[in-house]
Amino acid sequence: MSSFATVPAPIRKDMKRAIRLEWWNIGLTLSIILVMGLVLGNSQTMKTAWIEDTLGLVPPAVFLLSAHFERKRPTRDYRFGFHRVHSLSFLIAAVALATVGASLLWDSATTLVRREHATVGTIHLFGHGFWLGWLMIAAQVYSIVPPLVIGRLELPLATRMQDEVLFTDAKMNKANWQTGAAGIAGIIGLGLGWWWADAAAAAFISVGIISDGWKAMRIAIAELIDGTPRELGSTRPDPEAKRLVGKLQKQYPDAEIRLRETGRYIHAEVCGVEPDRRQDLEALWPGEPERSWRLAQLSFVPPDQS
Amino acid sequence: MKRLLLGCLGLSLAGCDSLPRDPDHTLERVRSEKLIRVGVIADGGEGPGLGAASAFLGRVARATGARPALRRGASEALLLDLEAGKLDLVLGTVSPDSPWAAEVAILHPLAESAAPQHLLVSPIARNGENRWIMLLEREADSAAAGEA
Repeated sequence: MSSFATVPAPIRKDMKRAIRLEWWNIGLTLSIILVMGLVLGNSQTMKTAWIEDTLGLVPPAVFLLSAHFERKRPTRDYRFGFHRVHSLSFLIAAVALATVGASLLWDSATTLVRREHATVGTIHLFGHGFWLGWLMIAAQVYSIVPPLVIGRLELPLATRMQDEVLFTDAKMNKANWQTGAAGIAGIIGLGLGWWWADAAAAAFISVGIISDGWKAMRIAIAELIDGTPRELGSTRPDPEAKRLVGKLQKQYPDAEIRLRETGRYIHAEVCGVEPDRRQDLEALWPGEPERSWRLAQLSFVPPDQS
Repeated sequence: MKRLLLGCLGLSLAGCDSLPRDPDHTLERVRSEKLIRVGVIADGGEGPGLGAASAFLGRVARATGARPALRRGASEALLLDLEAGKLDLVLGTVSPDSPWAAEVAILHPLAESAAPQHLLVSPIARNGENRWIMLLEREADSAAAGEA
């Protein structure tokens, strides 16, 4: 097991908590996949919800992977270390979230267009015949609770750690509990004879999920192609990064200031000037001092090479 | 969202007995018109399956207080009529590989058809008519248990 020495001290505790939370997330999601799999029946909505729960494993898995690599020291072949694994994980998580939204929209649209009437029959338990719909509702209720709780616990950690993967997972958890709620409404609607109810509810929810997924993909791509650092969960420029540019520009009025993000860290380049003084990165950080770890590197590019 | 969930839960508990309902009111119509429109696939109601199918129809008739009106025909024509709501029930064999398997609800089998194919004779209902399907499933299981 790699140590936490490479993780900035102010977020070390949060990182450990997030790792524990994601292991819980994976365990509970697997139990949901099992329970839902047992009562899938003939309902297309239940099948889609099951596929979404399976895709819900992607963000916690890639978070754990990136947390593992972040704690590794640079090697001979990877001199810059492994911070970029976080950016790559973010893109994978964002694609998984967008896929969930797209599959939900596709499923509900085809159900509505083809006017599919789902058959949900009888199940025999303890010598009695029950409508399988009741069991499906019970499974959906179980599938709602873990993502609702875990998603809420993840958000403050993601903010403190500036962790887009964890933030995207919180969105994925939101998508999963909302899909579960739509599923319950859908099964009850089906029971009332409204064959279109679940598809309509799912289509409504899918729009928000696609929007979140699309936004996350844009931020992830911006990060991978060295775009300006973005605010957590937003395509807007990061206000702390903007203030850092202003501060550096004041010190080096003739230079071009470039900032890029690798995972949670910011790398700053001052182009067109020689370094004239020793810089203290912590003192240079214009935001809250406990977040000064975000500025990981300041480099200078001489005038003739910029 | 919490209120919506509580509302859904309350609604579901209150409606325990009345759910599910049929989107096209098949069971209601069968009870009010006292008529079950049954299609019998020409090769499905003969041989060993005939007795089981008759016992099953008798049970459904008693449970609904309706009289079955039988119409024999080829599977394609009967299943199209079932899908269009012109029939309430079809008795016969449909292979699980058939494209019809997803378009209609093939219920618990009543008996095995004659050799050499050993296909299962099943009641077949219109997809989504869940109240009606539950009644048919209950009577099919009782008929199968009664035969044994």
